[in-house]
Amino acid sequence: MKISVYGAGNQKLYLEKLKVPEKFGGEPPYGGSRMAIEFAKAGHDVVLAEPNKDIMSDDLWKKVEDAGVKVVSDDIEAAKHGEVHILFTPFGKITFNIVKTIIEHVPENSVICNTCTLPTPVLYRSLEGILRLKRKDVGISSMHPTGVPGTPSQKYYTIAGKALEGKEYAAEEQINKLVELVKSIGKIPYVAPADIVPAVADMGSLVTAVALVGVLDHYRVGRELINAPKDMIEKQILVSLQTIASIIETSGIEGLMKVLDKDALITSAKNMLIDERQKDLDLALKIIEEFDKSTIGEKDVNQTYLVAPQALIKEAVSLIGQSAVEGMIRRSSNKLFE
Amino acid sequence: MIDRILLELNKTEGIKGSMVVGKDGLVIASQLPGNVDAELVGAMASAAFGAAERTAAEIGMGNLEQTMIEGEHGKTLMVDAGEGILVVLTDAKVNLGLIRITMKRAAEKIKAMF
Repeated sequence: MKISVYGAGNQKLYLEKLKVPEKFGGEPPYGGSRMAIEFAKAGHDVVLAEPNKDIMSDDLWKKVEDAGVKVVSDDIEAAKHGEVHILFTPFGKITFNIVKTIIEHVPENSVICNTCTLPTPVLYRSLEGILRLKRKDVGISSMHPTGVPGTPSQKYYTIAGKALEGKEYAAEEQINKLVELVKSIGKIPYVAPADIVPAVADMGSLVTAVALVGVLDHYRVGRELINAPKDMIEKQILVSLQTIASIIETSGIEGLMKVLDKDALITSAKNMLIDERQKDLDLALKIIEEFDKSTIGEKDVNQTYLVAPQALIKEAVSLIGQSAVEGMIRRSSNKLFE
Repeated sequence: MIDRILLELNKTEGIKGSMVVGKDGLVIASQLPGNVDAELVGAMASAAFGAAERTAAEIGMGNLEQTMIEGEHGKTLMVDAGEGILVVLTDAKVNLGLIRITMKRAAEKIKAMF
């Protein structure tokens, strides 16, 4: 398979800030360059595009080249090479610029994959004009390493499949190609709905995991101990998650800190500490109790509408139609990532 | 190619500019005056056309063919162009019959391109 990887990975971050070798094991290079090495060692024809040679030391570059990876500094040269294109590029405008540069040059039926820097739907939407008119053959997905490439715990690649909203950002054959690629390097492919990939595979998985514990605990306590109706429990979970998400969206973490009265929350939540199995809540109460708000600061909450987004979308569809609403969602989502 | 159709359309007397947007508001081609924000107008056209389409269906008028927004200083006409909407901005006083015929012809050509 012909693979193009964009970005070698910030070794300074891995080695000096995150101290990856000490904490997670493995050996440098980590990140995109390690992905390129692993693909090449599995027999694939790999090009790694990295305009900044200084991102790694010479001995690390030698490891990359010794593995059979062709290193180039020009993104367009890499674009012309691969049937699979993997963006291991910095968060933000740089990635958008790279992808807009390469899209015109990639071979027919190529698939372009993000890693952890931006969600697949956002990547798709940044290219939508071209993808819908000129390059209908190109698919968009992800090859999210779900860990740091080069560490022993990096076992999965999360591939963005058909989204929960129903959209297919890549053809089935393109997704299958990614699955085969992952298997070829001895890793586990996890095809997840495109829109949930960041929540399960990215750094945000911390939030997902902790929130999930709260959801499951509330569900168990509500159903088994309080014997409350399932619908009521689900609505309570929804309102809590929606409240936190909405305030963070309009007013940031500082707004959330301002609006949530720590002591009142602890007092209220203590009433839900019903049996000894709730180690999660017990620990959460201690953490909140000891948490120093001043480390984050506070600010006034901006106007925030706490409406259930799915219900709102249904109402909008009934008024202006599916297509117009999908356009609204696309534009608002783009603004969220601007 | 769509741009050529729009440029031709813009030669009609009274037309100030035109564009084609997807039904979701994505700008496909635009030949609007420089002072008009094409992306914003495209999004608004999609919402206005969608609302008109839903209203027509709800009151049993059948498929929507055309929508017109009439303002003090001009009109905005929107016609169905298959997967897209053809949007035309005109002066206030125009020969609407001529513009409608011209738009219909252009819309047929655009439909064939999707």
